[in-house]
Amino acid sequence: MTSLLSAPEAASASSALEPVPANGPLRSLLRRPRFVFSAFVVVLLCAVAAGPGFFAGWFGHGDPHACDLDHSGHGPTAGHPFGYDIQGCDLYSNVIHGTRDSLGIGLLTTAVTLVTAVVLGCLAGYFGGLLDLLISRLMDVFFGFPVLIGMIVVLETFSVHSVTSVSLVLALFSWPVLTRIMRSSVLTVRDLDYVVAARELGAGHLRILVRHVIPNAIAPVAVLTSMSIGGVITAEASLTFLGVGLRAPAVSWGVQLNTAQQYFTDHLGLLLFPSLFLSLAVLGFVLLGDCLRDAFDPRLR
Amino acid sequence: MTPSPRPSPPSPGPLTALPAYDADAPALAVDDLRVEFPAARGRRTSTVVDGASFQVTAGQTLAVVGESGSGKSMTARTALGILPAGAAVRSGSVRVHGVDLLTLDERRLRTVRGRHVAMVFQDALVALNPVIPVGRQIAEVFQVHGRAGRRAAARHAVDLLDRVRIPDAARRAGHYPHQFSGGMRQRVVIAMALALTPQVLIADEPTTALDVTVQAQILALLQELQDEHRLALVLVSHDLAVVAQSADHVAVMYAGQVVESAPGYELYRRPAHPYTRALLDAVPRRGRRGHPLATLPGAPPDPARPADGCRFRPRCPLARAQCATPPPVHNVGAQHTSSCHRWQEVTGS
Amino acid sequence: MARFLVRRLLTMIPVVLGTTFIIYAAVYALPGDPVQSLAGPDRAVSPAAAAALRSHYHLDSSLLVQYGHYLSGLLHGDFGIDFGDVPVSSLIAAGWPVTVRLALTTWVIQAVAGTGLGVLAAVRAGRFPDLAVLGGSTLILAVPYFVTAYVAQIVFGDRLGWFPVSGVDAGWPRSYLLPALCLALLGVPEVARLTRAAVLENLGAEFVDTAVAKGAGRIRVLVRHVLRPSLIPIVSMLGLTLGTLLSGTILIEGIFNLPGLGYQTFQGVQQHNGPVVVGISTLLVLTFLFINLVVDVLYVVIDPRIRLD
Repeated sequence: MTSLLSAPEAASASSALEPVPANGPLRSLLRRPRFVFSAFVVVLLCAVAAGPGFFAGWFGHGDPHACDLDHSGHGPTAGHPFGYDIQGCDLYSNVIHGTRDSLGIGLLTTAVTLVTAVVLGCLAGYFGGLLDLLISRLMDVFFGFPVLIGMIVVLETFSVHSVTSVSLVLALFSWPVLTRIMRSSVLTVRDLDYVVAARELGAGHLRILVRHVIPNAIAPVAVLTSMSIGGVITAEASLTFLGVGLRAPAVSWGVQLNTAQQYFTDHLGLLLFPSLFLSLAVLGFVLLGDCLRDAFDPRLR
Repeated sequence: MTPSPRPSPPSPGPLTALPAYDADAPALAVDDLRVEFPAARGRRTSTVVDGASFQVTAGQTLAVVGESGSGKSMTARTALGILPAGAAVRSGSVRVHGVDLLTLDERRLRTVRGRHVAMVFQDALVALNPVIPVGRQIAEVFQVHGRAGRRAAARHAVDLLDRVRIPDAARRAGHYPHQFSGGMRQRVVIAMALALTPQVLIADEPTTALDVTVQAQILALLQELQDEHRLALVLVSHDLAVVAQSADHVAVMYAGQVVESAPGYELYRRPAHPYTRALLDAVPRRGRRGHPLATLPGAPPDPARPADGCRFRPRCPLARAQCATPPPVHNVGAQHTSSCHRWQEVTGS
Repeated sequence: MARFLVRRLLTMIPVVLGTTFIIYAAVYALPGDPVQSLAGPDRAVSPAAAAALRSHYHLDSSLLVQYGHYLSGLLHGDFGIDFGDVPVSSLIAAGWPVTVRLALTTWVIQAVAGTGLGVLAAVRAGRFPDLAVLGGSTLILAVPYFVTAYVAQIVFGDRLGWFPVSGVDAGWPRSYLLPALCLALLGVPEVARLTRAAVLENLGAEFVDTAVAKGAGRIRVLVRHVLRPSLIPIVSMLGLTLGTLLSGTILIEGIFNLPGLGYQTFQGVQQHNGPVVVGISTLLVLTFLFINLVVDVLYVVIDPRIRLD
């Protein structure tokens, strides 16, 4: 268990150190309570997602599937700090286990979105012309969907509602925002002197893109990823709550809210505890994104 | 005053009702003015205007000259009470015909702004509201002072645009600032400032943002309007060449202080402060062809850490040990003062 | 202006075609039986209903012909039929007044609260009201609005009894106020932040000094010279939040049982009535495109700096 715990912490610590150009931004970040709080929340949730069994067992009832209908909907008791859900399972352990799928969708969707944005943004911004026209029109089409509506339609007709399929649908409707930013960022970098110089020296397009354009154009997009994870987690919860997102046997916080929706009035805990974790996760990622943007993208200050 | 053809003759205005009002006093007299940004978290107190004094009478032009950061714009803004956030007047007075504006409350000050003292800003593009037609912005002056209704104000605005020689004024009044050229925009700002025929017009770098040929036109227009209305004109500029010969009097500012003050021709002919001298040497002049233009090395001092004694000492070629004490104001000639220990060497050389 | 309108309308055509095609392709062109996928895996579709759907959507023709029929249907106000052979357009006809009432109520709350808080935050920048608005908006963004809606329903409806918790029997505004407040939480933080930024920018503008130098009073300076120029980005943001709001009605109307378009969609999902979900979503997408068009035109009308050629 300890190895599972330390892995994500080590990973996020090193990734936080790497992209820092100078020591300045990180040091000033660490002085901010907002950053320390949000980074702590995010690291902790990642740890929970990586090893839910460890955290779920803290109160002695770690198995989310050990259920007893006699306890259906009962409130908190000793050993069951959040009480029981409608099936009589331990709610705390369920909420802990829900972390993995909720976070997983957030991370997977954002990763797919980011890769798409970088590739399409580079193609449109760097090469321009017909390619740019096509990609830009395609973005316009996707911007034509109000938030969630396109996802609802596509998910409604999907027969598989797994973490992967839901993430892909979320990414399908999320890529245009980041792509548009990446494209305009590439457009400004493309004509900078050192890129022009590299081109005149005969460097190939791929080399120029990878060595010069992407490293210098990616910052505005990169700082939005943390915020995007927060947004995706909310979107997944809304879709799943509505009934078109994840379905059992997946156990995201949205799934728990969805299955309990008829019982909220009588069993407030079924609403509060999953939402608490959900909100904390979103708050963590959004605040972290805020701090990162402040620290690394002076243009947006 | 010259009678004005417009239906808003220079009427007494609210200032005359005050006991301190004195028609014979200088139109604008700034005395020992001190403006600071008080110390705040991690910041020392910055004194941006440090004991500046000057005055100007009706029909006269006073040029206030200095590098950026010398406190000249700050002084000009103090006269209208539009200091930037955080700045505070520590001491001194700004008197308009004897009435100290710094003692007036905000409501009374509002009746003075635009009515007795008006201002022309440096860059007309940012000084005009981008989403309101220029005619309406000029008309607003009449409206806020209760001098005309909506329609009459709009008519006056067209008259004013006509007087600053904007062609097709009636149509142009409906246009937005971005639809004008730089020179035309500055004319709009001048029209706005002159709407109520103020006694004092402060022009803060009115030509800096313009092309050289347009600069001359705008200066000529200001001069003409000044003669017509016997305005007291305060011309704030960083460019001694632009103002030295047209101004009746010049005050040279350095690091928040007036270091030399003299009639225009006198200053030009017989500068008595090394800083003024350096400014003049940086101006290309006839008869000095072939000589390299002098440049002034160094930068103005940080207003948060002024040098002891003479502020100009670190950059001054004549600096000696005595310059470590603050120089007194020396009378150099008629209406000519200099704050330099060694002024005689400057005039003599 | 006319030329701008025509050009703007022309650019809308590919977007309309694109969005409807994506919807169409997602529903009818994915592998598998579209009728069964619309019904979901657990629901048996009667042969009669399946046949009716097949003929209505021309499912036996080629893809492009199908799409053509579908598109011309949309133009004639045909949003499909559900499993009971009820035209979706009749559901829309019954539902839209409720949704429009909810959306407009929400929108007004959003506009007033969002700009009000934004101006307050800007005028008191760096001090308590500003920090409260910034912190509050972050918190609101973090809690999903359907959670807030349930909590509000339980607290203000069930426990305190201040508002009806379900249906529209109490009429406007009583039945609409609580759902509208919850839905407004989606847009208020965004509007407030944008307003704050715009007002702060204009507060530092030199034309504000010009106005003060004219002798204008504080209120006049704030309204005409600070708020007026700030209005341009705010109006476009307010227009765009209408889109977020449209999708928000699905969950909010579902939770508060307001029989509008969102409620029909919500029920459609719950009862695996796919054609209803798709039909109404299509209408919402078209509405959103129309709103975008209006916002763009409005932008040109209120911002004199935009040149039309």
